[in-house]
Amino acid sequence: MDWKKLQNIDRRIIYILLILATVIPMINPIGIPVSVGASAQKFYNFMDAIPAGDKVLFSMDFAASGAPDIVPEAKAVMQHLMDKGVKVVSIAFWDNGPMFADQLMKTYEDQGFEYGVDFANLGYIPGGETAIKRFGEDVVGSVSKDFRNNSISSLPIMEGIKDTRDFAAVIDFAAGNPGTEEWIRQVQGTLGINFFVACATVSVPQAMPFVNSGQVTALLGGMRGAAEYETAMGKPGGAVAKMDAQSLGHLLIIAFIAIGNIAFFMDKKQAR
Amino acid sequence: MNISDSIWVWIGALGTIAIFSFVFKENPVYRFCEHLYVGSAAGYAISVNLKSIVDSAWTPITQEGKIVLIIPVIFGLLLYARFFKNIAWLSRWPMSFLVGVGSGLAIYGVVNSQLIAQVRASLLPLTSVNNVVMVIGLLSILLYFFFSMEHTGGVKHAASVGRWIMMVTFGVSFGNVVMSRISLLLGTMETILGKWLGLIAL
Repeated sequence: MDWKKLQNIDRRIIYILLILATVIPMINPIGIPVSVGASAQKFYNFMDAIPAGDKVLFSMDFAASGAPDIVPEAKAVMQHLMDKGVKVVSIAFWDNGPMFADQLMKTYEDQGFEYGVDFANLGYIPGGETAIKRFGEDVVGSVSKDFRNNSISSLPIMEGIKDTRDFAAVIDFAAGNPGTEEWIRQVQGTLGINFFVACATVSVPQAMPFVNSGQVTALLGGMRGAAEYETAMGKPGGAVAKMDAQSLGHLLIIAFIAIGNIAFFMDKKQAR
Repeated sequence: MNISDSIWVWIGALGTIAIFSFVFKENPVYRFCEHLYVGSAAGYAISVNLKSIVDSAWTPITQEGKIVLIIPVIFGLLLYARFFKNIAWLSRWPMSFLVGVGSGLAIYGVVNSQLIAQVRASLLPLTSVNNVVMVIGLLSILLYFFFSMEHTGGVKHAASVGRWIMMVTFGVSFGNVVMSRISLLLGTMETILGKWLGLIAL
C-alpha cells in the first residue's frame, strides 16, 4: 500500500467531502440528540431566574468573521430574555457590534416589542480597555446618543441605570480583544458584577480559567453552546439544526487525522 | 426550493461561492471578491469611527460648548505628526500619555484579576480526580518552565509530565479551532442553502 499517498491526500478531496458532510445533514437532518453541558445549564438557570422588568447588558464584541459562531448564542439568549419580559441593552467595543445588535433587535420590533422600552442599542465606544472601564463605572456618562441617534436620556429603558451594577447580568459576546479579559480586569474584578461570556469556540480554552475561578459565572461556547441553550429552553432552533452537520464534520476531520497518523507510522515501519 | 429575490442576498451568496473557489485554485473572481470584502469592511470601520469622533468630540465642542475637549482632539491629531519627519517628535507626547494610562489601568487589573484570583482558584483541595489533575498539571507545567535549576532526576520527570499535559492542552485548543472553523462553514452554508436557495428553514 502506498502510505505516502495517504499522507498527501489532495486537499480538494478533503474540502469536497467536508462540504458534503455539512450540506447533506443540513438538508436532511439526522436528529442526533444534543445534551446540555453544566455551564450552559448554569447560564440558562441564571437567566431564567431574572425577574421580568430587570435589565441585562449585552456587550457585542465581535466582527463579521466571528458572527456565525456568536450570533446564534445572542439569538438564543435574546429569545429567552424577551419571552420572560427581561429588557436588553446592548453596547459594543468592536465597530461591527452595533450592526449585529440592531439586526437582532429589528426582528423583535417586527413582533411588536418596542425599541427604547424593551431593548436599546447604545452603539460603539472606541478605546478598548479604557472605554470598557469608563463604561463599566459610568454608563450614561460614556454614551450621549444611541445607535439610532436618540439621546440616552430619552430612552425609558435607561431609567435608573448609572453603572453596570444596575444590570442583573452582563453578557460579553466576545471574539477576541477587547473582550472577556478586559471586562474581567476593569469591571468584574472591581465592581463585582454578574459576568457571563458567550464566546467563539476558539476562545473557550482562554476563557475557561476565568470560569473555573468564578470570575465568569457561566460560559456558552460557540454554536454548540447556542444549541445547548436552545435545548435547555426547550425550543430547539437554528443552532440545534446545525449540530448534525457539525458532528459529521468533526467525524470526518477525526477520520482524516486517523488516516494521516496510521499512514505516517506504517510508512515509517515499512521504511525499516 | 424558494430562491431569494433580494439583490443583496444574491451578492452575498455569489460572493461567498467566489471566495470558496480559492479552495480549488486561485482565480481573478476570488481576488476581486477578496478585495471587495476588505474594502467594504474598511469603509464600514471608517464610517463608524468617524461617527464616533463627531458624536464624542465635534458635536460637544461646536454645539454644546465643551471647549475643554479640544485638548484630547489636539492630542489625537499630534499622533499623526509621526508621519512628518520634522515634527515626528511631537507624537511622543500623546503616545506617552496613552501608554501611561493603559499601563496604569492594566497593571491593577492584571495583578488583581489574572494573577491573585487565578492563584487563589488553583488552591484546590485534593478531594477529586479533577482537582488532583488540575494541581499536578499546574505544578508540573510551571516546573517545565523553571530554568533556574537543571532538569535532572525527579525534576526531569515532573517537567516531562508538564510537557505531556501541555500537549493535551494544545490538542484541546486545536479541537476548539476545528470546531470553530466548522461552525463558520455552517454559517456560510446556512446563508447559501437557506437565505439564497431556500432549501432549509431559517
